[in-house]
Amino acid sequence: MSLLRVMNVTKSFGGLKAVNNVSIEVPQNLVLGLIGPNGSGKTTLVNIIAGFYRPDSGEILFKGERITGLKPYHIANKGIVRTFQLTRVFKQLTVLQNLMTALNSHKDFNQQQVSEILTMLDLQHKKHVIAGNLSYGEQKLLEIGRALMKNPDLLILDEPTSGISPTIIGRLTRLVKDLKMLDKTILIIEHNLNVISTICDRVVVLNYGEKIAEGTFEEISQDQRVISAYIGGFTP
Amino acid sequence: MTYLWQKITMVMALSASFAILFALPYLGISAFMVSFLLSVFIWVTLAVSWNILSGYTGYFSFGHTAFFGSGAFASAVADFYFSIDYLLTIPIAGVVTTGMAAGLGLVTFRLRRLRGQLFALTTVVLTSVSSIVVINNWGSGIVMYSVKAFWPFLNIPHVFYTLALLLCFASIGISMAIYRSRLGLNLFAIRDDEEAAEAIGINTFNNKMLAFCISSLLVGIAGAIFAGWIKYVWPETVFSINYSLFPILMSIMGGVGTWVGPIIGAAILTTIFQIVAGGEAVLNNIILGSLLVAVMIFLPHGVYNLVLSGYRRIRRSARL
Repeated sequence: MSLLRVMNVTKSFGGLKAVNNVSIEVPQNLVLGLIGPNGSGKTTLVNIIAGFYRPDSGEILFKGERITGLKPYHIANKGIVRTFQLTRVFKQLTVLQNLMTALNSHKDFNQQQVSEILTMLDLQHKKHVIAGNLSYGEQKLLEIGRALMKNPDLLILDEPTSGISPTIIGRLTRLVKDLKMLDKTILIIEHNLNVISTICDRVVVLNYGEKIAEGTFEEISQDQRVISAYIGGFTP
Repeated sequence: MTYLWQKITMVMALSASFAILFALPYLGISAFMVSFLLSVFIWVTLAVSWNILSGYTGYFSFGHTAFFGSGAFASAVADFYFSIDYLLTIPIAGVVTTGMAAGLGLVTFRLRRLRGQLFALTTVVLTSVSSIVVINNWGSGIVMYSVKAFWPFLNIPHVFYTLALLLCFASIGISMAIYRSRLGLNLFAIRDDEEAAEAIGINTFNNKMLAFCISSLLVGIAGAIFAGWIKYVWPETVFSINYSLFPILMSIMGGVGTWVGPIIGAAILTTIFQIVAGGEAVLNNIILGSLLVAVMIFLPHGVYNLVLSGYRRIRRSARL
């Protein structure tokens, strides 16, 4: 069953069609990769799904319910939580406070859940540190942890490995694999094809705002359109 | 010290402060000191209420003048023209200013392009519009000949001092409660990154509206108490730009975004104005301008944060 259905979505900015008649389906308990060159419309599509942009046409269904045009906070509370391409933690709040912003009220605070997430992020010893004082990679991990605190049905990660060291990439990849073992549904935008090939069950490829391929990583990496538009001679 | 002990200590300290301040006029302090303290209570209320919106959410407001003046005139109009009991004019003033804030918030908080500096600009416009409305209708002011009250409260000595004291401590209590609550966390998240706050499920519109309405309610009531105290409400007085600028300076000087900073800033600044300028308006403005620049350069995080970081440094070196 599809958790998320994006149907014929189009979005233009002035004369530029950033997303052109794109349809994708994200089945439950699947890790779906979204790849494509810079400017291909990946983040715009995610912004549309998360409610930050309203599509010019098309519909989005989440768990069978129409969410097109809903406000971002409404969509987040329905179960779709996203991270940002450039990390956006609450820099003047502590690590623990950042996690708590995901709760609807203080009554929802669950010490065990917080401990588990901090352990997963390897930030247990930094829970009272101001988020702005963390390294960029740790902020990336914190942002994912904050999203996980919301127990989302669909977690959208926007280029989680961009701008961080190989060590943190390794931690992040292990984290996503752990989430996959817990049957989380994840939509991940990435340029790091090693990460995509390692963790994604299926991959969708965008180019110039259009979907040009969809399939397993092996299938799309042999697609001529994908090779010429994006991955060249990449081998994982 | 555990969190519970901290809370108990805080409540005891505030209760003791309230009791001492309440008793002071009855212990024979001079009439000048009573007036001075009353003005401190009003300024603390204004600074604390400004901080609830602007310090906690980052939405800089210059609207305090609009709310203070409108609150004062709402009370005066209700008392003078409609013979409403003075004590009832206080909540009426609060309703008027809350309504103004709600009306402005309904428009500005929905529009992404009206965040940041443009929101500040709309509060300046609100101040201009409300002062023009008042000047056109009551330009020569309103004299509250006899502040009418159907209950004998106004016969109590130092009643306006007590009302101002109650409002001041109520404002502090509200600010402290918000600071430690879920609402406070939401407001800080909005301050740090509003889009990220929305992405994590925070209804930023509702939270901002709540902060704005609470802030304007407190200022409106302060305006009403001020009107009853001075008994002559004149547009040039109650719509003075100082009611917008002083709370900003007080909050920044004390420590914007903390619940205790505005209290410190208001107490220090009111004392400075009284000692150095003797309450003289022109001198006050010279001091205001100079202090604004000095604080921005030398005390950007405020007195409270400076003292706190010094205390933490001493504790750390004591442990080593």
